[in-house]
Amino acid sequence: MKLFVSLMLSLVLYGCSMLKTEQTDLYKEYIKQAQAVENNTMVSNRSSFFTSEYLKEVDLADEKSLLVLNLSKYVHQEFSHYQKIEGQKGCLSINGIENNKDPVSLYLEYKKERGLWLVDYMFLHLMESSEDYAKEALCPREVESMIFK
Amino acid sequence: MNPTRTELKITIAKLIEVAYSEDKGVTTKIVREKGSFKLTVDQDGNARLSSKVGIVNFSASDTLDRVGANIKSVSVNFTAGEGKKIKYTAIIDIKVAKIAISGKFDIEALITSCSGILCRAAKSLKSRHDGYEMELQKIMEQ
Repeated sequence: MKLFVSLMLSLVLYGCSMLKTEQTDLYKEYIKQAQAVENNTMVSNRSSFFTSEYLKEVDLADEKSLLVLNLSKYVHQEFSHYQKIEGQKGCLSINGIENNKDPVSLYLEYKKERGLWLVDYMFLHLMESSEDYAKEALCPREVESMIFK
Repeated sequence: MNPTRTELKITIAKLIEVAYSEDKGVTTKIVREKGSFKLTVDQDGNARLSSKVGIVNFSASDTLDRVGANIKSVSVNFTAGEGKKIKYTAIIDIKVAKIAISGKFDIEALITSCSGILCRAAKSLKSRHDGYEMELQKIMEQ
C-alpha cells in the first residue's frame, strides 16, 4: 500500500513539474532578445527572435532599418512586466526607464512560429510620466488606440 | 544608433517650422488657435498641418531623412495646454513597429525661433546647425 501511495505521489509530482516547464514565459524570451541586442549578436540571431513577416522589413544593408531589431535598447532598466497568451498569440508589456531615467514602456506581440515564440509587432511608448506605465498585459495595437484617439 | 527621445522631439518641432516656412500666415493661425490641430506625413513624405482654420501642405522628406529610422508615416495630435503650451502625442510608424512620443512646448517660443537669424541660417545651410538644434531642444524639453 505504502509503495502504491509513493508511486502515485511521484507520478503527480512529475506531472506537475512537466506542466510547469510547458508554461510559456514571454518575459524570458524578451530577456534573451534584450541580451542579444546588448551583446551585438541580434543581427546574426534575428530569426530566433522575430517572425519571418517581421524580418521581411529589415534590410541589413541599411543601418536605419536595424532600429526595429533594437527597440529593447530604449529600456535601460526594467521595473515590471505583464503577459497574456491567447492560443498562438501572446503579448508582453514592459515598464522601465531609459538611461537618462525618462519612463518608457515597450509592448511586444508574439506569434508562435516554427515552435518558437517570436516577436511579430512592437510598440514603444516614450512617455512623459510613469503614470502612463502599463498596468496590465496589453497588445501593441490596443495601446495605440488607447493613447492616440 | 537608435534615435533619442530628444532627436524625435526636435524632428516634430522641425516639421512645424517647415510648415511655417511654407506658409507663415496659415501655420500661425493653425497653431495659435485654442482648439486642436493635426500633423500627418504619408509614406511619400507628403506632410499636412491642418485644423478647422486651414491646411498647409509641404514636403517632410528632407526632415525625416535625417532621422535614424526608416519612417513610413507620422501622425501627431496637438491640443491646447496651460497658457501658451501645446501638448502633443506623436505616433511614428517604422513599418513593423511604432514609436509613440508625448510632450509639450511653448508655441510662441517655437515661432519666434524661426523668425530669427538662427533659423534662416540653418535652412540656408540645409544641414545640421548646432545652435539651431540646441534652441529647438530647449523649447521641446521644457
